[in-house]
Amino acid sequence: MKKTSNINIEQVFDHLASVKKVEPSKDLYFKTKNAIKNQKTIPLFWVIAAACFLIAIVGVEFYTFSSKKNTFNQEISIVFPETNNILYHE
Amino acid sequence: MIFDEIYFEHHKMVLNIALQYVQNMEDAEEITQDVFIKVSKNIHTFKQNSSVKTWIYRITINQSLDFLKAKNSQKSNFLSSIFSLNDIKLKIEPTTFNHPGIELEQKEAYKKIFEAINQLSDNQKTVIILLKIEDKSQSETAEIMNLSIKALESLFQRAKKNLDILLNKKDNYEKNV
Repeated sequence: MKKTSNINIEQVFDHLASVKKVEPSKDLYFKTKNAIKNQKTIPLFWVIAAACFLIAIVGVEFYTFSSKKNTFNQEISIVFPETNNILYHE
Repeated sequence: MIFDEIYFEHHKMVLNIALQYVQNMEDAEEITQDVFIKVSKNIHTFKQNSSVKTWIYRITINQSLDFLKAKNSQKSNFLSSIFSLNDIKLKIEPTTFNHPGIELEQKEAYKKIFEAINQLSDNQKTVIILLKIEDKSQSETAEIMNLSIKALESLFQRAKKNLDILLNKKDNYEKNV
């Protein structure tokens, strides 16, 4: 029984080997070329421009945040003047 | 390397491999187009660790398998939305069988063989296609599939065993071929 099924599978492989190769149609090349042309890709220039823009925004945000922090510190020091516990004219 | 040169050297091979996976010309041509779109995109970044041929083989196999998965999930979503079959595992044939490399009178018999091949796992399907339909050598197949010869042999044995089981569960294959 098992032997019969083994013969079958070998026959299957023989038949698979006889599957004929198919010639591609001539217009497949033009279809492929058109498909490549129609690919919507973003040019590298715009990718770099967008990256620069983002970096600039982050930089400006960081600068304004740090300068605001300095102003806040100055305001605090006016309200609460710092003392250094050193006696003058000692 | 120029795209046209690569295209005309490999397009027949790409189409025929895709055809073994999807078994109809329309889908095989769609896969061929997608393969060469990928080739044109990545041609400048291609590292020559393997040959161009092996690289294109790998793209073709992956593209064909992705195509089948996409098609199957489309069909199962469509059917389950109509019949609310979420709990039932659908057994769907991946594509319409219309292989132009098979003569008309043998089509029914071959359809059964390909139905069985389509039920194998991705790797088992690929090993059968490369070794038995494309007639690649063991070393070529091992390189394309990125396996050792030993691993390839055991994969082939498992594929052969499973194919045998699948075919013998089905109709009497011998009568038809």
